[in-house]
Amino acid sequence: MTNMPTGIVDNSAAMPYIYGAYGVMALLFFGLALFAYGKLKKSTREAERLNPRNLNKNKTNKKT
Amino acid sequence: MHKFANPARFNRLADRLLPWVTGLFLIVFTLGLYSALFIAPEDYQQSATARIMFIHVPSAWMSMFCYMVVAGASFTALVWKHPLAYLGAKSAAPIGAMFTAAALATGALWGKPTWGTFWMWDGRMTSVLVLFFLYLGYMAIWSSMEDQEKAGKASSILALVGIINIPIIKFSVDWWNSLHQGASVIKMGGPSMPGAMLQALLLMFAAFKLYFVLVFLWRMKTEINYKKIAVFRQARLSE
Repeated sequence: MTNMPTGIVDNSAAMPYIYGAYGVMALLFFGLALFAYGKLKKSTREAERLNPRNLNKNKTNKKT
Repeated sequence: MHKFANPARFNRLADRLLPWVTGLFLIVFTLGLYSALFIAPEDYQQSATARIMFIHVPSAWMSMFCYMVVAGASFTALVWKHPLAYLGAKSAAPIGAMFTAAALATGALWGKPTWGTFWMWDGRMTSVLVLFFLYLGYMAIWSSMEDQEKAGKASSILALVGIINIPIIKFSVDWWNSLHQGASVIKMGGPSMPGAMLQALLLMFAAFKLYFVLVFLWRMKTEINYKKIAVFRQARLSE
């Protein structure tokens, strides 16, 4: 607790910092979640498309 | 643990866990946010700025926790050649980097109204910045090396060397003079904050932990998909 200033922080002056902190947190938090989820969906689609089992299924469907 | 080394088994387990983790995360996160913004009292010196604590402190804890996961998984991969361990370490790193960036940014925004400065080159802040660079370096190795086997080994060594930074972060406020306050939750004599504040803090920590599990499972599944895609492409080329 060395060098900690004493005194009351003025709430109205501090509000932009509080909104800023929660805003930055939300941006990082949901940004990463959306990015990770998007990549999961994209890679799942790609893996299903390239799966030889699905390729064979598609070929069989076309023939019938 | 080796039971879950099978990617198909891991995927089945993850699919079963994901709906529960998502639901629990949404509930705990809502409760935590409500407690942090409406129930916890203002600090007698820092007024409402103390509410930044409810996102800053759990982010800082998570940044260290994620690094322990990366280092632990790297160790497992190097020693026991656990097939999913490299993927686990690789999946946890960006989440840890995000939490470290959040801790640094929210800390700076808390510092300005309370200390009068966004940044100080003191032990705590500098060691957390070093942690952020360790995460960036770890991820850079994975993305810069084409041979994933070599990338896994090189990044694991970096992760294990970097673990020395974790006790430095934890004890920096005790070892050196710092603007940053000392421990107020995990310390001798118990936490030094009101129950309502501690409750909000622990709820947010639980929410961040659930967020980690959720995104970690998504990222692990993605990495397994990438492995599958590489195998399918290889099989196509050799046809």
